Amino acid sequence: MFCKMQLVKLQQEYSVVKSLNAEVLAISTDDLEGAGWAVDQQGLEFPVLYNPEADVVKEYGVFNAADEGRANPSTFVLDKDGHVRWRYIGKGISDRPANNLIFEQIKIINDTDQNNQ
Amino acid sequence: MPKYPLLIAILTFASLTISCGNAGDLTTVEPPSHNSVITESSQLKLAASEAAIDPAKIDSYQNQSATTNSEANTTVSEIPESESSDKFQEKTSDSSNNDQAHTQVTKPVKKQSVSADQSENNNKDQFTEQIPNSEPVEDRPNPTISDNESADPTPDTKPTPTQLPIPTITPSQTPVPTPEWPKAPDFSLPSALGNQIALESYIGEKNTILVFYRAYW
Repeated sequence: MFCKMQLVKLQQEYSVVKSLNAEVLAISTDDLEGAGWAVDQQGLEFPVLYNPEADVVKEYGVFNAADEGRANPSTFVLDKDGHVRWRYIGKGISDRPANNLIFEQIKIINDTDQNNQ
Repeated sequence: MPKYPLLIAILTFASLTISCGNAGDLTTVEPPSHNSVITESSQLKLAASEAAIDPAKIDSYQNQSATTNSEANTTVSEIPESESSDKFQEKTSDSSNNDQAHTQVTKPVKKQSVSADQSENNNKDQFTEQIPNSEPVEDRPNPTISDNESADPTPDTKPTPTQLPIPTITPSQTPVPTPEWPKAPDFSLPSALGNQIALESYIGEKNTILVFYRAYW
């Protein structure tokens, strides 16, 4: 339940994501079945990527071997240049950032990038 | 009269032996011509060795092999694509079939956990080490990585220069300090809709929110 909640909430405010010139990329160590299920069940419009080999999850340092090799719930906000501007590493399964927290960070990015240009 | 046949027999025998001798001579003399017959029948072997064949033959052989090679290449390169796309279609159709009876999702997930178990111990060390580490960026990468490397030779944990400085406090909401924003590791992963999504394709276009989630159920 907790795992999908963030995706569902982001889907609910997907229009805001778009208005901030952002895209959501969901990543898990699921296989195609699991990822497909997520999309079908919740009507997720953003890409849901699956990485059963977990190599990308490990590269981002959120591989949790203690949790059967799943990804540690976490959120990264990247700017247009692919820099990590903000991250939220969940303490537990249900510890996830609210949408507003994420949107705030993107607004900051958009503002600073505008000022720099 | 009866002696003639004997004589003839002897003579013919002698001539036979002579001819045999000649035949023997012939075999020793003839190899070149014999060889040339062979070269015609099996050009490939002799062309490969340095046997004396007129250059025209070698050229034709090379041309032949070139064409056959290129043919082989194209067919080989075609096969995986069609195969993989077939597999993909199979998979996607499978997943859509399984939608109705999807209580089985735990099945494949368990399989993953088995494979993940193999590297679990090593990675567990790395992961738990990384999280509490609250030092600034400069302190972290090399020492911990070299420790891990000596401890576990698994390729999965090999350090990459793009490895992120790991979070400080858990949970951390700390904005990454400017201006040293780390570059996010690039990746290209399959999506549930069947297409490949690369982070690179958003660079210069959009901000991205990467949401790592545990699993979907």
